[in-house]
Formats: sequence, C-alpha cells, structure tokens
Amino acid sequence: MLSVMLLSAVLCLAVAPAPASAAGTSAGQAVTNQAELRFRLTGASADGLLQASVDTLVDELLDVVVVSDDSGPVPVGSPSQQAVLQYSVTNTGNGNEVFRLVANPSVVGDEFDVTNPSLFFETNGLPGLQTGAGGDTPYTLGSNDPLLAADASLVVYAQVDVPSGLNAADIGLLELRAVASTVISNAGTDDPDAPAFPPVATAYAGAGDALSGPPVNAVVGTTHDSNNLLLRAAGAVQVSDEVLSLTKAAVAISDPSGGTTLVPGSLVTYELAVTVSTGATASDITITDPVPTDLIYQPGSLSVSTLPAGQEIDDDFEPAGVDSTGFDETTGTVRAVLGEVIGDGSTITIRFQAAVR
Amino acid sequence: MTHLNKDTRARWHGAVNFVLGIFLTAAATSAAAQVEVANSVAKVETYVDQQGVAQRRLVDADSVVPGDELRYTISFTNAGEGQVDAGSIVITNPVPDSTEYIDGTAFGSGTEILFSADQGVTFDLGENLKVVKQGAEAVASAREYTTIQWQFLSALEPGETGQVSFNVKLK
Repeated sequence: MLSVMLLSAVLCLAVAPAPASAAGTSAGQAVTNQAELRFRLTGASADGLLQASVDTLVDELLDVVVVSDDSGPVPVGSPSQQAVLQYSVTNTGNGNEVFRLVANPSVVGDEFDVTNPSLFFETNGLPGLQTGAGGDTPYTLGSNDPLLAADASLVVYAQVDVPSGLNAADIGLLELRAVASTVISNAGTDDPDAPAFPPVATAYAGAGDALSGPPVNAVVGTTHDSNNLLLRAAGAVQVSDEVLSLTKAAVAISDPSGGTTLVPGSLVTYELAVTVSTGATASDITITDPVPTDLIYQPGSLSVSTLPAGQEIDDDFEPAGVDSTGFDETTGTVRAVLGEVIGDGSTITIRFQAAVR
Repeated sequence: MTHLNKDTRARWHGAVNFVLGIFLTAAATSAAAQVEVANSVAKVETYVDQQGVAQRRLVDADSVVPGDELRYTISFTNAGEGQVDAGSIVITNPVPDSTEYIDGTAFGSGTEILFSADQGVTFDLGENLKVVKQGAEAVASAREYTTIQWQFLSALEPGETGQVSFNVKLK
C-alpha cells in the first residue's frame, strides 16, 4: 500500500525570478564629460573661464541569461506526452535585441533524449502553459523570434514527449538557449560550441541597436564567458514509477462576450486528472492546488468525479473529518480529499473555475 | 564658445575637444587666447600578458559598454605671453551622468584635489564628505561623489602645461 500525502498540484510560477538588472546605460546614449577651468592672468581684473567637453557613445552590449524555472526534474511516465518545462529568458544587455530560441535534447549527462520539443511564449497572462484558443503563443524559429528590450524577461515553455521503455529515475534533459540575432547574423552560427561563435568582447561595427540616433557597435558581453554558460539552461524530466499521476490543464476559457480571450471577467476552467496505476493502491490522497492571486475562485464550481463515501464538496470544511473537500478561502487553495484509491486505470477528474481579476 | 566639433551626434574616438576663452568680463577679452584647455577620454582595458598576469592599458574609447572603465584627462596650456597667477587655476568637473567615480583615481601633479557629494555646492577632502543615508549622516563613498575639483598651486608661465585626470565606471 502506498501513502500519498498532500500532493501539491502547483503547476504555476507567478513571475519568473529575473536575474538582477544588469542592462546599465542604454545603447546609443552619449556620455558627456564637461570640465570647467578658471584662471586669473597676472594683473587681470577678473577670472577667465573655459569649458571643454568630450562625448562617448555607448555601444550595445549583447547579453542574455536563460534559467530553468523548474524546482527539480518534472516527473513523467514512460511513455508520456506533452510534459511541460519552464524557462525564463532575460535580455541583460542594454539595447533592444531579437533572440533566437533553440531547444536541444541532445545534451550530455542524461539517460535519454526527450522528443518532439515545441516551445511557447507566456503571453496570455495565466501562469503555466495553456495551448489552443486563448492560450500561450507557439514559437516558430525564425518567424516570431522574440524582441526583448533591455532588462525584459520572457517566460518560455517547452512541451516534450518521453519515449517508452525507460527505467524509473532515468533523466532526460532539454537545453534551451537564446542567441542574439546580431551574433547569428555576424558569426553565421547559433551554436555556442561552434568555433565561429564569438568570444566575449567581440565587436561588430555599426551592428548595435541605438535606441535613438545612428547605429552603434555591438559588443559580445560577459554572459558569453565560461563556455557560454549563462545563455543556455537545461530543464529535466525524470521517469517516475509513482503509482499516482497528476496532470493539470486549463481546458476552457470563456470571456464575458462569449469569446475565448483572457480579459478581466473571463472564466478559466481547470481540470486536474488523478490516475492510480492498475493493480496499485494509493491511500490518504489529498490534492491541493493554490489558485493564483490574479484569479478568483468561483464558489460552487468545484467538482470531483469520484469522492469517497460520506465526503461532500463545499467551502466550510465542517464537520471536520467528513467535509474536507472545497475551496479554502484563508489559504486561497482548492483541496480535494480522495482518501484510498484502488487503481483500475480510470481517472478521477477534479474541475473548478476561476475568473480573471 | 568655439566647439571644434559642433556635431554632438558624432562619435569622438578618444577625441580632444578644445574650447577657447570665455571671459567673465569684457575687460579680459583681449586675453582670450591666453589659456587653452582640452578634455579627452580613453578606455582602461584589462588584458592578460604573455606571463599570464593581468595588466591594464589605455586604449581608444571607440567601443564602450556598461561596466567599462574610462579615464578622462583635462590638460591645460598657457598659450599666451603673460603669467597665470599661482593658485588661480581651478578645474571643476562634474562626474558624468551614467558613470560613477572610481575611488583613488583622481590625479593631478601639483594640485590639491577636493570632492563634492552635493553637485558642487560644497567641496572638501573625501574623508570629510558627508551624505545622509536612512536619516543618519555617513561618510560619502567615492561612488557618491558628484564633482571633482583640482586647484593648481603654482603659477603657470607662458608655454607651460599641466594636466589632471580621473577614472569612472560606466553604469
């Protein structure tokens, strides 16, 4: 018998932790030094006053940092489809720059390669990946390479498939890298391991983005140091033999005017699917799912396809021990107590709705 | 004011920009060409020499990005026939916007160097400068200096030159 306690269904990271602001003085800005000199000629009745200045134009620094936002390997089955990894990409340079994103499953240090990676930008304002109408934006290399202003950050999701026949605890890595388009167009490669990939301090005359005024030089920044470590990051999936699997998805979005856009007042329907492997038994299953602060749980919208005998769904949690499933307003968390589940391959579905503030 | 290079959008590669004679009173105008002053910039570059030792050198400031160290040099010449009074030459240079002064880099042979942390209202030795931080007075750090001032102590005879310099980090 397996005991699963308080399995959290948090598939949301509100805002990616952006690296410290590093952009600095904007590309194209003129830095002016002005000196003033006073003097008195012998016998003169007043001081003379002179001024002299010198300007320096600031070049564009090409810098980018990619981090994996997952707190650890994402548990997956073998086979499984559409596991989601999350990254954030931050332009730590000082100018506007377009970046190419490349997902690379062929990384050393893992047991298998994930397949069919596809990338999405977080664009709909809802934490986590939502695909389809009203969902996040699919990325196609070369067609919608993201333009990031200095210091701007972008959350990127990678959806990957996992092959069958893998062993429990096997790890598959997916490296995401971001390469400045200025580097690609001048070096002719987006591969940091290629000999042509530029070292730190490489300058491209006139290739920089001055925010106003004439172009400046572009200079490869220190994030390209140490084998370009900072402009790529690996997320991981790990094959799990847990008898219990849990997925969460936003299955429907309806806006106040009957469409599928996300505006204040839009209703998002979330679905959590809980499956216990055939032949296994999981006891004391409690599912908790914090509702993001930019969403309002809709009272009465929670449903659970199979509840243990005697359990009810409402939000007062009274009487204790019997009424344990509902929305806990004090913690902003949806909670479902499923108790002991004997696996027969079927899925227990938990649904609820939340409105966008 | 006579800018030799009036195009403010132009890039000055470590350029020297001369400005000649502005006088406070019309009476002194006849001495307009007595003293010349020039302001130049260079980048302080760190490199590793053949022995693997990190070294510093000055290079053209034609490619400058945030984090770089710059050196500004102000040089002056008595180009006239008459003497300039001892102690009368005072050079005042606000630390440029988008940069911060690097401690200990202000230099000037034969000068007394003072700093200001209040946009040039008051000047003093660095250790005497105070700023208010979270309601309490504290000694200003070099990064908080807003202005640097050099007083050239000797007289400047015809044909003589002098120069002062300081380094900043581009923010």
